Amino acid sequence: MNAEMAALIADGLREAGFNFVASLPATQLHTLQARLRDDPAFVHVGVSNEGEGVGICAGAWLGGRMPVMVMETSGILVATYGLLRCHATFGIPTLLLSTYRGDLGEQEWYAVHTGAAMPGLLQAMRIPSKVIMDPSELKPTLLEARRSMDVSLHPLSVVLGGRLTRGT
Amino acid sequence: MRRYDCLAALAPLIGDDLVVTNVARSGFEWHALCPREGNIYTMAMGMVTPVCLGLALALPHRRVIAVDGDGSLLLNLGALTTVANAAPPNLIVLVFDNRSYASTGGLPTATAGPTDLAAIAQGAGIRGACTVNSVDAFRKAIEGAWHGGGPWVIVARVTGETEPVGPKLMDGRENKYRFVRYVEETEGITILKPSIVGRKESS
Repeated sequence: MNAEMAALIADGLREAGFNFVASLPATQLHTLQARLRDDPAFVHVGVSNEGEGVGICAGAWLGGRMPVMVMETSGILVATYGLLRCHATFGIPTLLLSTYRGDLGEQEWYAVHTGAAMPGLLQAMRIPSKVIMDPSELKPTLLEARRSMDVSLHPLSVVLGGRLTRGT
Repeated sequence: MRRYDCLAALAPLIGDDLVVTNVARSGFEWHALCPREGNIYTMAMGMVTPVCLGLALALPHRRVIAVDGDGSLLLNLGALTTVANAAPPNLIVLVFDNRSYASTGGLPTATAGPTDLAAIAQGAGIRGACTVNSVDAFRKAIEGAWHGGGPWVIVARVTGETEPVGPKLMDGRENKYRFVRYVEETEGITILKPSIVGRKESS
């Protein structure tokens, strides 16, 4: 992800009312993650496991923050237990902002299968998901995501399509 | 030393603090001793300490107490490294270490062997992590942690003996609503926004 895209996403998150970020560094996200870490509009926590990360986000929401977990595609697989046993069970929202490794155009063999599993996994958890392919969709989608979570009290997934995240 | 006796020593200290308990009997015992809106009971195994870390960072002026267990902490052990690095001074993690998966048949956890959770917490970077073996030592450790300077991890080596108290009759969603309303009231903030109707902000 280039710096311009990272700035667009950070601005979109801030303007939509998100103010708490947990993240685990990822190849296609580190520019965004560093920007969010350095932005005083967000409380940022670097985590070592996305399951722990969504738990931290749940606590932040209980304390009045609007949280987002920024992670690699495979992080959603790691976070599944917490998303079901914590968020779904108690009714707690968290935005899952992820890459889409394995999307059309993927060029790494190891990333193919997590991407293939992700849409079905989100559907099985009844987590609404939207894949963003055009930068112009970013800000409106992040605002809609925040609004939807205010009333659903359930996680929501925004997936950054491969065209948005490839490249430095 | 029983967990219940430690919790009984903790209960009189509680003011507007926020408490999250582990699954099964630790939640029942805490509810019996200190029923209040500022408690979340029966958080998922492995999620107690992470949820409390998020709470402590969201509300840095409030004391947040995790009532965790050895099996639960072991499920998400890396959380200790995140607690150490985020270093919220207002977080107290209590680990009631009965060396077993007590609520699911009593088979041993790793701490029944050579594993030392306080040493792991220290290695993660939580310098004040300690192990206590008596209620008096537990009380002293709590008093030392009570006024900040955390994060704290207090590992209480307890027996498997429990107090025969029943569960609270409330599911997680009701518990969540009551807890969030308590936070809203005590913080003067709005968290729940179920409808656009009546809201001042247009976003």
